[in-house]
Amino acid sequence: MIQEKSILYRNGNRCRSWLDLIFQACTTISLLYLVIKVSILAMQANTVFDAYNSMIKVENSSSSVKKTFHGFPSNRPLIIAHRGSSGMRPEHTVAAYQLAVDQGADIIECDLAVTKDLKLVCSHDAYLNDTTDIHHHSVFKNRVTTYTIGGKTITDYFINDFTLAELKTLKRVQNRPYRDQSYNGLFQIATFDEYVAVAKFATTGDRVVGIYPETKNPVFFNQFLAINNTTMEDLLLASLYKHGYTSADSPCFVQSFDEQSLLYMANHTKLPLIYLTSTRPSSEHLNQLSTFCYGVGVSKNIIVQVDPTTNEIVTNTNFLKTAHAKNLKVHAFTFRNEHQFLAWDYGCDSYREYARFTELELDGFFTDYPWSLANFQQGD
Amino acid sequence: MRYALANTPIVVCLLCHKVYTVGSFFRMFRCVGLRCDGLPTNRPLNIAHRGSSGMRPEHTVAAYQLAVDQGADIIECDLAVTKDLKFICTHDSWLNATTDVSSHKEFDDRVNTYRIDGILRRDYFTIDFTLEELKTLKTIQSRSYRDQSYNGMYPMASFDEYVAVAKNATANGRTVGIYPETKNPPFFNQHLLDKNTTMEDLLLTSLEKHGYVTPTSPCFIQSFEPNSLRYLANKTGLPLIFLVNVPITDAKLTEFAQFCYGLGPSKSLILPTVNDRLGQSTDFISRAHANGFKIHPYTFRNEDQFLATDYASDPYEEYNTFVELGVDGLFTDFPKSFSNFLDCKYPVDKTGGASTTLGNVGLILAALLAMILM
Repeated sequence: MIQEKSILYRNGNRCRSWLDLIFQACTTISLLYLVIKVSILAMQANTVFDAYNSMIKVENSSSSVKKTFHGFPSNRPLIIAHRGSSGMRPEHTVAAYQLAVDQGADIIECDLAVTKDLKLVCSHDAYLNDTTDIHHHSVFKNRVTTYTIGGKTITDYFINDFTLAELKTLKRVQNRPYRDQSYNGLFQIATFDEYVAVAKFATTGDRVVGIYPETKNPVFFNQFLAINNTTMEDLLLASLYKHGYTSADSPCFVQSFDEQSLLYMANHTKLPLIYLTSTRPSSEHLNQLSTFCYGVGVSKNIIVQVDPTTNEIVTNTNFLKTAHAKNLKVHAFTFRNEHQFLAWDYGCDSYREYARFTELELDGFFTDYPWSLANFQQGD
Repeated sequence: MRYALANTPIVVCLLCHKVYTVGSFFRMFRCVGLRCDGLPTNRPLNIAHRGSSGMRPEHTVAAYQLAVDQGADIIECDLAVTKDLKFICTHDSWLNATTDVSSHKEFDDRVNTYRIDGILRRDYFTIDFTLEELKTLKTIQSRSYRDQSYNGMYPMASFDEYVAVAKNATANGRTVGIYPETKNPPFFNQHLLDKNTTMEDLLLTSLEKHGYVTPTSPCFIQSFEPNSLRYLANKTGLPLIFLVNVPITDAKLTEFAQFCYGLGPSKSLILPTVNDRLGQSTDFISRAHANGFKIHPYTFRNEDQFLATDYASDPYEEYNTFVELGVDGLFTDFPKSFSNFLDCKYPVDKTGGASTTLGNVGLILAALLAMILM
């Protein structure tokens, strides 16, 4: 104590010594501050620091983000890969589904068709010529038939006239000429089981990849299934049950344009149901739907109206607010990058379309380009 | 005097080998990384090619203004000369593709045939019209796959009107640069011989009138014509850009490095495509940067036919590819998209900004204290 005192009084001037001490302390602190600040700046150029930083980011982005009760993130609209990553690979192939998963899709979507031997395969159409190389298979020449589907008479090769084994000899092609043709003839038609496997394999730890099967043309397929005492809906539900999709919080949305199909399934499953429509349902209809549906899947034009003659946006409608008020989620279709699918107002830029719908609080996008939507969401 | 003060060192940081000058401290408080011309240096420049030409008829005040509103750093214009020695903004010296001139009966007799770049062409040419006459025409969208709903609405833009758009934006606290091109100078200069002037001289006079006179004016002059650039280099300190669409030799690089600020290469010189698929990136950028050039490639468009298959019809993937390759700016028909991309790639850290400033205050105080007390 005395020693300290003598230091303080050494100069004979108490105030000045105190001041000296303070100044010296300040200098030390300043120098220390300089050193620390500079080291931090230097470290910021270091990749280790960057890795640490991104680690924190990932932790923050996944574990602390609120989830829906299905396990999907609830802080942003869902990325629903329409027919897989169909902008970049032939649609409804394992390759398209897997790429969608790799590109960050929350859900992979599939349309169902039923084969001759009652197996479920993934295909938008019940007919095959557009999306496969079937016309090269002379062994199937005699299978061409004419059916009426959805009021249209079509002559083609139909899935319900082929066994799964036969379908597996075909290869998928990209039916849109403006998309990448270099994967034609590489991939088979995917079965529903293979499709589910892609989603399940990707569902690990913190990430849930959901499925979104559609009963497509159920009236058409059910007329052939009647003789086997079953229906497309029964086949689907049995398969879903087998795969473990059984409850209201399973990451599986079942969708259909056919309301009867949904009503039937509403009586046989707790899985969330989505009613698809290209025309805006009335308020009354929405009320009815809200009694058994989790949500609706609507044409994007119902939400942002575009004049088809001028290709310009007319207005944002109040559909989302209305549906949300009735406790219905809304997923819109279909979002594509190609400029012919974009209103002029978006400047040939699909991200600007995503931005508009995100701002309107859409709950999910059906997109052919999950890569772009994922990039857009990360940019925000 | 101001220069000297700005560059007085006030502290030398031995640990990080940096000399902090008054100027650098000052810049730390304001937007970090601003060059003296006001254009950002911490990210590639957004150059609106012919204005926001993806969404409006090119080279109109509407296209230029939209580009400015959409966040472009620079609006680009191609120059043509009129009969009365004025400048009009237009990509081609002929008018039929981009205006309604053919519906103006009073100009029926103005159709002419000229040889440009070796090709004989029969059309209406700017050199045969006065500026006032050109102003009676209305522009149209020449690309069929773009929005046709603005056809017949806007007149052509004069160079003065174009400059006014840039200056008006700058008046509101934001620097928007100009990027005029001497297009087809041999063609125009043969018509200017008897007037005892050249396209280059007319341009420099106009630029001087508008106040673009120093190397740090926000104005880049571009040309495909080497002689045009050589002539300009002798008469102005404004940054010059040599446009190239064929590979450039090392010798040429060295020569042009003497008087050019940068190169404007075709995209394919940097990243060629084969059958619409991306090939290997070339050494163009590294060679050019090694010679001190800035690189502004052209032209980036959103429509799928201009995007290699690898980009999956996503223009942001193309932007990202070229930005990662190290371009210093790029010409785009869709400045809004590039602006959105840059906002994501180079976010202005809103919270960090304040703390960076505070941190810098602390740094300065510490440094000053250290200097005073030691």
